[in-house]
Amino acid sequence: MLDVDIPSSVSTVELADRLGRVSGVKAVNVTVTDTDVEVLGLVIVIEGDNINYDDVKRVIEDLGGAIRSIDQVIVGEYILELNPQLLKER
Amino acid sequence: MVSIDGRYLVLGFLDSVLTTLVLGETTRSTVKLVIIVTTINLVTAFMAEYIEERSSLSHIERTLLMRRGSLLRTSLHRRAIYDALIKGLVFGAVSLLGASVTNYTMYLVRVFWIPVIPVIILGVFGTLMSRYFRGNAVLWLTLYVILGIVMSFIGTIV
Repeated sequence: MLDVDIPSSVSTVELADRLGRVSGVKAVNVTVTDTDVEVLGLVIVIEGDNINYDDVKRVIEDLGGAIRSIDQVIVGEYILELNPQLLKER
Repeated sequence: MVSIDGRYLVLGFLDSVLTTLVLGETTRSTVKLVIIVTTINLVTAFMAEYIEERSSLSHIERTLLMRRGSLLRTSLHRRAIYDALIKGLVFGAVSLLGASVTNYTMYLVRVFWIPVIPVIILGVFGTLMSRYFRGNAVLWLTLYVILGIVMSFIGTIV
């Protein structure tokens, strides 16, 4: 799960399409969370096996975007879900 | 896909007609004149568009808190160059048409020093241009007809 800012002239459809073609990526969800005159704030969720993160980063940067933070990474034999209650208790 | 504003077509035509009216009297070689006007307009339109795109990229860099020039290596910059090139070519092609039409019609019908056909064309395109900003059509028709008369007069005295 990535927090990304991109110029608003960039098509989110093109971004999702190019991310979907990165090696290892099985599914992509691009959600606009913030809109400004020139910048769109996005949350990008990418799922797949052995995702090539460098290629993901390259695609985003090639479209003029900037990765602000990596908010969630899940690695392993199965999907380890985070209990939201744990976050609230912290 | 590059979107070409109608105003580029109208402005390209107006610009080339006016320039040809001034230079038409002094430059005897028709082909030379048309090439000069087309080349100047093509390069000018490309540079104007490219500078506009670069300025927009610099602004985005500042908004995204990126290092200066970091967007120059992106597909965004390559697309900006491509867009500017296409718009420059369109502007150049329209200028070629405008300069050719003016050059071939400016000696056909004349009242004193005034080439009637290019001046009428200017009036028509001036009226079209006024539609882009909802201006007064009669005012812009008159303005461009007067501009055409003045430019052709300058062409005769230079």
